[in-house]
Order: sequence, then structure tokens, then C-alpha cells
Amino acid sequence: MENGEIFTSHFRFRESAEAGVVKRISSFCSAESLPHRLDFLDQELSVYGYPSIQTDEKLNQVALVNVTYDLLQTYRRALESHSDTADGLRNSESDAARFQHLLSLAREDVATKDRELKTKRIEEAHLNQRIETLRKKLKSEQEKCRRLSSEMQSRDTQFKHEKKKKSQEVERMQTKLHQLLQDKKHERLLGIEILNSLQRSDGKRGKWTTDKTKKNNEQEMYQLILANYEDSQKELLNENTAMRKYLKQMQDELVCALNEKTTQRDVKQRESRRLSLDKIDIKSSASVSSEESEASDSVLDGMFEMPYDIVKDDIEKSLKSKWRALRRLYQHKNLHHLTEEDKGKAENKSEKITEYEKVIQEQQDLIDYFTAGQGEKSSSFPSDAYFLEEKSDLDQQKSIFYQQRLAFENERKVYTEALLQLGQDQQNFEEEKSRWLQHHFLQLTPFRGSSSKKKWSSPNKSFRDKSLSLSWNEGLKNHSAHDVSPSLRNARGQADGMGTSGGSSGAQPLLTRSPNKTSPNRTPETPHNPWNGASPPIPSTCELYRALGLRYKSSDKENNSSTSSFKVKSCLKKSPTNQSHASPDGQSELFSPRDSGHTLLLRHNRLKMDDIKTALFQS
Amino acid sequence: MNFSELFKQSQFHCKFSPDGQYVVTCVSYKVIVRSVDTLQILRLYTCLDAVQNIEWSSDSAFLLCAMYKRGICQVWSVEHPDWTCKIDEGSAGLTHAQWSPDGRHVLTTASFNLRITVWSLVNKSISYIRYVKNSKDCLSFTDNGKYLALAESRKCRDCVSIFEVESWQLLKLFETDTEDLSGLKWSPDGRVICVWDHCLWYKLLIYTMDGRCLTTYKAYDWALGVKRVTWSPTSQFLAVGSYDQKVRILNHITWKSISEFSHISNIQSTNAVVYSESETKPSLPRTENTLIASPPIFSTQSKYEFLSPPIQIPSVQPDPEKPNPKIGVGWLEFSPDNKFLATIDDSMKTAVHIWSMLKLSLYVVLLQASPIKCARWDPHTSRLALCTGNDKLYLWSPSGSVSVQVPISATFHVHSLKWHPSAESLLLMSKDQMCICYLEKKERDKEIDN
Repeated sequence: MENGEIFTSHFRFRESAEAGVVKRISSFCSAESLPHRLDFLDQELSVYGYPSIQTDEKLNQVALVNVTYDLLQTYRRALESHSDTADGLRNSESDAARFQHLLSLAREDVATKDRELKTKRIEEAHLNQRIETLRKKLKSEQEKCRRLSSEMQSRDTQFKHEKKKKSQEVERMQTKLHQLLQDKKHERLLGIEILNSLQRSDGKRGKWTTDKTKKNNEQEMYQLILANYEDSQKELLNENTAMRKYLKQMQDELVCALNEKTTQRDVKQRESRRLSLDKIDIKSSASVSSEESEASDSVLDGMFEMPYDIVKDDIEKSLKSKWRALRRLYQHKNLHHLTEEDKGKAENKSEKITEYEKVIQEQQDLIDYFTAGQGEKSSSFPSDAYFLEEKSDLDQQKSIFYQQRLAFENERKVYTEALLQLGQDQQNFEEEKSRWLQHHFLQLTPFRGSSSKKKWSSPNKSFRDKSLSLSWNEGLKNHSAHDVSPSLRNARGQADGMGTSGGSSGAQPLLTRSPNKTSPNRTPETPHNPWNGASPPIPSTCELYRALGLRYKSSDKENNSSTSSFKVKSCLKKSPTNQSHASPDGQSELFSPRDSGHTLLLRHNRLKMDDIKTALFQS
Repeated sequence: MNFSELFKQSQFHCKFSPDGQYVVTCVSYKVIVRSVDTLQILRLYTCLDAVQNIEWSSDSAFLLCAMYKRGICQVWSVEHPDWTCKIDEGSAGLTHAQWSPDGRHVLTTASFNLRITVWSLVNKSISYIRYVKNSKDCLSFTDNGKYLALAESRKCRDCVSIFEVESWQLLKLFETDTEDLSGLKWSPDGRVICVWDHCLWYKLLIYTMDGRCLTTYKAYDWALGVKRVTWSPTSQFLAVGSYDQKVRILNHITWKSISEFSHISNIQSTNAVVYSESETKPSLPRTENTLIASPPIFSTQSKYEFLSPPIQIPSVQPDPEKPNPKIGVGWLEFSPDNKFLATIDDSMKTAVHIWSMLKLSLYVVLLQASPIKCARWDPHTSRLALCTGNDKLYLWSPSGSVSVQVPISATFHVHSLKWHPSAESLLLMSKDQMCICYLEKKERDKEIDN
């Protein structure tokens, strides 16, 4: 349906263009203004370096034909060259597209290569690490080997040395033996030469060595051994008792310390119970105190004198429980003693941390900046290329838009003329109607007719004039705003389109974005709604503009409310602000594509206008 | 601090008697006994040959002089200079001679460790002990002198035999789990015997007298192992110095390592105090020196300076081709009050590490300008005396460190030193001379405080 409309509109546009050309050609010269126009033409041609087509104030037809022919020729050539250049342009465009594609491919390639490089690097790092560990291992092994070999060497030399020593000893022994065997005759007097025997150092006489004394000696030895063992046992016993004493002392002191704490705690407890404040504290202290009482009960003084293997478990248990209690107390104390000083320190620390975080952030930013800067540098060329392409696209679209606007301007002129005529016709019709009504009324009731008619008609007319002028001005303003904006808005629209549809040509987003909810729904309504309400009024220019889709919101509101034209006017007044404020709303999404879909709307509007025209003319 | 005049001596054979009354010096074949207080010659003995070892009996009444080349020993009595005694090992040869703890028996070791002969000076009786491994490290008496532990090698197996010294009766013989036992040592309280393997195998075993093995300790495999072992005076710690430049401390209850003291040439620890000796050559002899008869013109001035870590201790890497490499802890000794352990690593001969046994950490490092020749603890307190082969004596105590110039002669270079049992004097020896340094109590304190 919509597409059909578009095609028909297009067709009509072309038709009207041809008609415009014919009109333009015919409007240039007429029979009366021929000499004038000829002069003008002559001048114009002379500007282009053609010889005069007039000879003696008369038209030189041959020259004219020649000039015309030459003009045609040059025009054809120009066209040809134009088409050539267009071809060239297309070629270059396609080339550019190809290169773009290649570039993207290359980029992808680079990315994959980068990735590969990264993985390879990681692998390399892994391998390096492994190599390092292996090297370390090797080093340690080498060290070990070296150490072992040096040990072996030293052992070896030592062994050799020992062997040498032994062999020397053997040799010496052999020679000695040989000597002894030879010198058997004059044997030296062996033994001891002593003047007189000495007394024993203890002054006692020597004893005969008998079996008994031998046994006694052995017994003595064993007795000594036993005595030694007894001595060592005594030593150990002493040590043991000392240890036991220390253990007991330690236990007592622990109990003492814990009891002190618990008595303090008990006082606290009572207080806290009275105040019923800290329940957890009560619980913990209660458990501690119960444990302590248990512990102190379980280990009596005599226990430390018992054989250790019997009481070992008990002592260990009680000690452990005491340690636990003590540790808990300590921790508790530590927690409580997180004084203000500590807090101050903590604050200092946190301040410092925030400071450092800031510094880190700055550094990060700097790093980002530098890395990003490099990135930009590397991609400066392609981005620039994009920009150029966009620019050319924009220019194209702009030119199209201007053409369309021109066409629209022409149409508007035609339409206003038709409208004026229509107004006249309607006035005539009104007059006729009033006359007919007067006539009819005079036939029925001669009093009421004229006054009531005047009441109804006069304010309406004045109001309509006002609104017309106002809306005309508004429309102009709006129009001018539109005139300036399209290039920018189009660009923006395309930029949006790039984001979503990936840089396709300007026409595509127009098509895709055109079906905003409002336009198709409204298009049939806008012309019909006012008609349904009352007898067909003269469409004011404001309505025209509305119909042209230059004012969406206002028209929407108007349509929904379907109120009098006064309201419409107020809406129109407000609309520029509304439009400017629309962007933060969710609706802005709906409205913003309208800019890009401008040309399409124009077509729609042309359709609507045609409808209006036909309707009006019918009426 | 006073110094005696110089006396001749040979081969560092100078010794204080155990009771502290006498000092004996050997000059070749002459043996001279002097009174420590007056330095007057009390006795003069003439031996058959140049003395190669001299030893006091435990009661300070007799002197044992060994002449290994001749294979004979001579015993002299301080009280009765006319009394003579000569022990001839004969053709078996002599490699070692020592007193038994009772001072009435002499133990001589025949060449090739063929046997140990026990000569009784009481009844001329002779006992032989065979299968001895070696007589230096493999022979140990208990501190009370009642028992002797001896490492033997019977049928290519290492064993330890326990003798009752009074009757020389073999009380116990037990095998040890070692490849090549190279040393044993009674604990000072006489309860256990520590046995260690040859340096090719790091292995240390603790045995009771009746042969029960209490523990086997092995710090690592393969590399060269134990170099030296020392008991603490209270028998509570056993310090094991090894070729990996570490000292491991074993405790006496569980016999487990409680600490490892590494001797690294680069000291990073900030807890340890490092004294460094700095030498300066004086341009002119100072006025103090001119007062003394023989001013040490050629000597250098030296003083200790504190160094702050990190400190690089000069170290020499040993030649791997040579046996018994000069690396690892070759000397270690506990202070008599059991508070400190002094160690010297053979690759860092210029430094003494002193470790605190209370904190089990490095306490002091004495960094000398030249290699340390000898270091000895004061027998009563934590005081260490050391010499580096120059004309100075160095003393360290927890309150400070001091270097003292021996003012007698610039050519007297201290190579060895010995403490008097009362710790009131020191015997200083150069290669061929000796002198006694008297430490007066007050003066000593002053010196140390400086």
C-alpha cells in the first residue's frame, strides 16, 4: 500500500516535472518578446564565445542553427564526459568499496594475527618459564654432581693416601723383620732398668691378682655402671621434678590470671545482667568461667606428682582449655583495645588509600590516553576516508533534498493559488448559500436569519484570517528551520544508521525508519478528521503544514483532541518548544528518525495534498 | 703483666707440672726443672739422646722422657735426682710413651702398633696389650684414672676393650659398628665412650662401658667426615667438627644434634661481635718502648677493631688432589665453665669462632692478621689465649679482647703457649726459646677492660 503510494507519487512527480519544463520553455519567449530575448540570447552566447546570431538586428537563422548544433554537440559531449566521469566515479567508488572491504579483511587478518601473536607469546612465556625451571633444576643437579664428584675425588685421594701409608708400613715392617732375622746374635738387653722400685702412689702394697680380685673388678665395673645409671636417673628425676614444679606453677599462675579476669567479668556480668545489655558477652564469659572452673577442678595439686602417662590426658586437656580461654580473652581485649588512636591510623590509611587510588586512576587515564592516541594515529587514514565518503553521501542527499524542496515549493505555490481560488469559490458558495438560506428563511421566518448568520460567520472569518497569517509566519519559520537543518540532521540520521545498519547508503535508513507509528496511522486521519467533524472548512496554511508533516506533535495532539482551530493555533505556538524538549522523552526515539525520513514524508504529504485538492474540488 | 727472661728450649718440650710448682724444659738431651715462682734451676737431668717427648707424672714427682729414635724412655724423679730408670723397647721400636694416670706405670707403644707394653715402676712387671689400632687417639683413660678404653683391631674387626688400670685386667671387650675406627674418648664423667669412624665415613657412636651402643650419629654420607671430637667439661655436650666446616653439638640425654655451627667465610649475622686485628708499622719507636732494654724496632703495632657485618674472612680452598685437605674444623675446645666453644676452621686459619653455648649461636669472631698457631682456654674461666707466630700474645674474655706485645725481644715469636694450672701465668714458646708471662690479677682485669 505504502510502496504503491510512493511509486505513484514518484510518477506524478516526473510528469509534473515535464510539464514544468514545457512551461519553462514556453515561458521564456513569446512572439512579442522575441527581439528582446534574441538580444539576450545573443549576449549570452557571446559570453560563451559564439558569434552573434543576429545580423543587422535580424535573426541569422543559419548562425542560430549552427550555434544550436554546436551547443547540442558540446552538450552531448559534456553529457558523454559526464557519463564517463560518472562511470569513473562509480568505478572508483566500487574500487573504494573493494578497498574498504580489503581493508576490513586486512584488519581482521591483523587482529587474528595479533591474537595468534599473543597466544604465541603466552606459549613462549610458558616455555620460557619451563626452560627456566629446567635450567634451575639442571643447575642444581650440576651443583650436586659437582659436589658429589668433588666428594668422590677427596675420598679417592684419601683412599690412595691410606693405601700408600699402609704399603709403606708393610715395607718398613718387612725391612725390620729382615733386620731382626739377621741380627739375631747380639740381642739388645730388653726391658726395664730401674734403680729401685717405687712405692705405689697411694702408698698401699700391691695385691696378688686372683680370680677373686678379677671378679671383684668386674663387679666393681658393673657397680660403677649401675651407679652411673643411678646418677643419671637421679639427674633426670631432678629435672623431672623441676619440670613438674614449673608445670604446676604455670598452671597455678594461669588459673590465677584467668580467675582475676573472671572475677572482673563476673562483676561486669552482674551489671550487664542488671542492665540486660550485652547478651553475647554474658554467654561467652559464662562459658569461659564454666570452663575455667571445670579446668581448675579437674587438675588437683597432687596430679602433678602422679605418673605422667596416667594424668597426661587430663593435664593436656586442662592446659588446652586454659590456653583457649586465655587466647579468647586476649582476642577480646585486642578487639576492645582498638582505641581511637588506631581508628585515627585507620582513617589515615584509608585517606592514603584513596589518594593512591586517585594516582592510580590518573596513571590509568594517562596510559589509556597514550595507547588510545597511538590507536587513533594508526587508524587515522581509514576514519578520514569514512568521513569523506559520508560527506559525499551527504552532499548527494542534500542536493536531492534541495531538488525535492524546490519541487515542493512549486507545488505549494500551485496549491496556494488553488486554495485562494477555492476560498473565492467557497465565498461565492457561501454567499449563494446565505442568499439561498435568506431566501428560504424569508419564506419561513423573516426575523432570525440575517443576525444569526452574521454572528456565526463574522468571528469565524476574522479568526480564520488571523490564524492564517499567524500560521503562515510560523510555517515560514519552521520551514527556514528545516531548510538549514536537513544536512546536519541527515548526517546525524546517517550516523545513527551507521550504528545500526552498518553504513549503508542514505536511502535505506529512510525506508526502514519511515514506518513510525504516527505517520501511517495519521496520514489517512489528518485529512478525514476535520472533514468528519463538520462541513469541510477551508484548510488553513497551518493545517497544510501540519499535513505536510512538518509538525508532528502538534498535529497529533490536535487530532487526538479534535478541538477547535484555536487550540490548534496554541499548539502550533507551543510546538517549537515541544520539539526542542522532545528529545529526553521516550518519544524522541520515534520522532528523531522523522528527520531522516523527511523526503518520504514529503511524498506522503503530496499525496495528502492531492487528496485534499480533489476533495475540495469535489466539494 | 710481667714477663720472665728468655730460656732456651727445643721442640716446644716445656711443661708446667700438674701441681703447678715446676716447669720443665728440654734443650736437646738436657732436661731442666725450674721452680715456677723463682725460675731457679732445681734439677738438671742428662738423657741418653735428644728428648722427643716429655711428660709429667700425675703426682708431679716423675718425668718421662721419650727418645723414639733410640727406642728408649728415661724416667726421672724430681725428689730423688739420683734415682734412675731406663726402659728399652729393644728391637720392637718405640713410637709413643705415656704415663698411666696413677703415675707408676709407663705405657710404650711399639712400632707398627705391634703392642702396648705396660711397665710397672712398682714391681717391674710387664704387661702387653696387643691388636692396638693406634696409640694416640685410640687410647683413653677415664678422668678418675680407673679405666682404660682401647680401640683394637681383631680379625679385621674394630673392637673396644676396657681395662681396669690398677690390675690391667681386661674387663670388657666389645665390637663396634665401624668401618675403620679412628678414635675414641671417654666422657669426662666416665659414663660413656664416644667412638668415631675414619674420616671417609661420617659415623659417631656412643657406647657405655659394658658395650651397649646408645646411639649412632651420621650427619651425611660420602663426603669426608669427622675431623675432631671434643667433650664439654660437664659431659653434657659433644662437639663434632667435620670436614664440611661445621660443628655439630650432640646432647647427653637423647644424643641428638641440637645445633649446627657453620663456619662460613661470609659473616652476615649481626649478633656476633667481630674483632679484627689491624697492624700498623710505627714510623718512630715510641717513648714507652725506649724505656725497655731491647726496643722492638722491627715489630708492628696492632690493635683490635670492631667490624660490622657483612665480613669476609679470608679463606683458602684446599687442593683436591692432596689427602687430608686443609678444610673443616680441626680444632675445637670448650671453655672450662662450659659457656663457650672456640673453634678454628683449617681453611680459615686467621679466625677463631667463639660460640655461645647458652644461646647456641656465634658470639665472637677474632680475626687475626696472620694464621693462628695455638689457642688455649684458661683452665678456670672463659679466657682464651692465642698466638699467631709474632711477638704478641692475644687474650680474649667476654668483657673484651686485647693484644699484648712481648717486650723482651722483637725476635721472640710466640708459636705455642700453655697455661699454668692456676691460670696465673702463661708459658710462651718460640721455636727455640721460652718465657713465662705472669698475669697479675688486677692488672689482668685492667688489661681486659681496656
